[in-house]
Amino acid sequence: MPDRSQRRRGAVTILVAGTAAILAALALAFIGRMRSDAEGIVVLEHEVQAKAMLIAGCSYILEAGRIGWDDPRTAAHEETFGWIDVRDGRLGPKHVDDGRDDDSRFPVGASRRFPMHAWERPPFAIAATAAPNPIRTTASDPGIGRSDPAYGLPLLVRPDPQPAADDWSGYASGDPRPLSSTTGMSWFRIHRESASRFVITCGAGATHGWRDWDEVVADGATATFGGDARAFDDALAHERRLWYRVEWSPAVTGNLGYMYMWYHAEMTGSELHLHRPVNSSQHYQDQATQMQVKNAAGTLAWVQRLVSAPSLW
Amino acid sequence: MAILDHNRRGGFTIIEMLISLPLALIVAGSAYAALRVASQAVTTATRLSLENTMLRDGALAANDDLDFWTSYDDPSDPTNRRLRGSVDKWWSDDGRGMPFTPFAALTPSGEPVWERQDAGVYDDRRGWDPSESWSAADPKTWWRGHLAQRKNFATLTHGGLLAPDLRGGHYGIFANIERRQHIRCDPHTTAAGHACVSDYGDVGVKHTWLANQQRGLLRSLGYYGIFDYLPPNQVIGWHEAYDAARTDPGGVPTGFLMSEVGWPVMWNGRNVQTQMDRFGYHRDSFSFRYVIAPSYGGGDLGTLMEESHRMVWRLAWAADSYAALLERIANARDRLPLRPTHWPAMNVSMARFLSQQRMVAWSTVRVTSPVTGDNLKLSFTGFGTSLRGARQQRRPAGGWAAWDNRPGAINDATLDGQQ
Repeated sequence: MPDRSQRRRGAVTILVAGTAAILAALALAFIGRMRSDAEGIVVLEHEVQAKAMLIAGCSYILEAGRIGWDDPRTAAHEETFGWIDVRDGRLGPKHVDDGRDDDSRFPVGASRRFPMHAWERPPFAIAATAAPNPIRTTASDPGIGRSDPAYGLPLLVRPDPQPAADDWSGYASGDPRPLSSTTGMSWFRIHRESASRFVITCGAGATHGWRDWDEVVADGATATFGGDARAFDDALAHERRLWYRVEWSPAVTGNLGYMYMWYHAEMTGSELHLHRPVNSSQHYQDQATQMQVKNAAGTLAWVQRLVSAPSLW
Repeated sequence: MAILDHNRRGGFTIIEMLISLPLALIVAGSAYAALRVASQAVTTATRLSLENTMLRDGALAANDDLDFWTSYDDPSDPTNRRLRGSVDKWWSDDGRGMPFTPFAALTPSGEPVWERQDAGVYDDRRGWDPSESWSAADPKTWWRGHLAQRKNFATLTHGGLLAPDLRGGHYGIFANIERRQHIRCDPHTTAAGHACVSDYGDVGVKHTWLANQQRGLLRSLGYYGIFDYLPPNQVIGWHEAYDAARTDPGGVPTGFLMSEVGWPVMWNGRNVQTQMDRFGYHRDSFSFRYVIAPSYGGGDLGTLMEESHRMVWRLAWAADSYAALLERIANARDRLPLRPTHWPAMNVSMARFLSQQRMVAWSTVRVTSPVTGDNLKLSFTGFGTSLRGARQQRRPAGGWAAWDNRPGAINDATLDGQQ
């Protein structure tokens, strides 16, 4: 039979354990709720990420109709003239240099996949160096004396901002290796339905835009998923996919009057972009910025979210 | 003699009790306070979680509305298709349909919302063709008007009217809504000493497609609709046939032009060429906005439905102009009308308008706490389905239009189907 001190210790233990259990239960409930909230955010995050892919897909369609065909190994800067060529109304994108007068760059009926990721270092990246040209004083490192001619002077001895690469070549070309934390998160896919109409599939998930495992096998890309169809199926189950139809238009936006008539011809007589640079954001009328810039790659006539997945995408 | 067995004594001494009881009370009080605080923390966490969930769901709902426009027109809900009607007003030359009116619909007087004719001639068709690609190389899409066909200051006082200056030519014969144009004598627009003697007579108009597309879209959909459907750099303005009671000789451009002060002018042929200048803008909306009518909220149904989607909202320089605009046009809906009383209220609104040449879809999610009255507000603009895309999602009689691209697929008719 326990003695008195043992009984007291038992009572205290029960009290402490009970209180601790209650607090632990409350803490677990709190953490569980926070966890649940965080999981709920994933749905919204996937939705937003998929919508971001819509913008990426639209940008591809706009740019691939006119630019983006330049071969950096050649001096010429190849451009094309629209998905429906603005010169003759025939299928494009085509340019005259290589004699291809057809849609072979992106045939009608074809689908292409665009898994997205960030580069390790994009072209012409600059480093976040806060003070590339620090003013040197007795307190700086290394410090200089007051008699030094450079004392206290803001001498711009280094380029500002600083390039993120060590040499010009690396600075200009960037580092195209995928940034590991950004791979397998989102993709878009484009199916050319007709001359100027496209189905854009937007994905937030890790399938890289392959429709199903059969397509992965057909592309010889099973290694992407460790050769395991279940890994692909798991990625597919957690993925958000949205389908849109869009139509490209050769029409360019921009304000005809402001662009060509008023400022150009009457106010200054000079080229618009000389006095209204593209990125000028400080203007008394707050209107001569990107809003007034013409988009020479065309525009999208309309965008339609599809109620259900189409057969071809 | 009883022997006192100290080892079997079960109670505490008075000293022990005097010390332990206050301590126990302090411990119990602290534990109660801790429990109470923990309980309040859980309650607060629950409330915050609920508000977060609502904010999240509201953001998802707003995202959904960006793509499906169900706050303006719900194919699954017959009570929310208020933007599908048509009107027949005295001013209906400028508009009959609404943003979701099927092109094939009839006005209350039995006229087609968009008159369709097909003369079988390439550039002479009427009505909307959903498959038309508006190729830049296609001559019928080229605008052939003459916005600089402007008033002649030398003739300002003639007849009390501002006569047009036709010395540059009768551009109404290059593009018009009618196939024939009668060129009349207009002595006031000729050079001095060269007054005309008689009418020139009838001439054929080769290009009528674009003028009819522009007029048809404006009449069928209103301002927001015509800007959504036409290419963004389209000059909007057309020539109409001469009508002695309505237009000036020669068929000056009629349509949607812009005055120098930035105020839109409906140049509908009833007016003389007073406001027309060289500013034939498209989509320009420096100090004003074109909006689409809200289908929810207050307001007289007739006024709201018949005129609001043709509304031009002029913004003043005041900082609160946008707030006033949004308050007027926001299509707000209570997303949880049957919620428990202790739950927060959640309201999602969408405002769609044209600003600075861009179609803007402005979503706002509001969560209001019934306990504290605090407002959580999340506002954002998004990119999604355009008005034309939304019309292509819908069947004329209600319901979502099925669409597929497999070979041989037969797709549902949409609001844009051929008349």
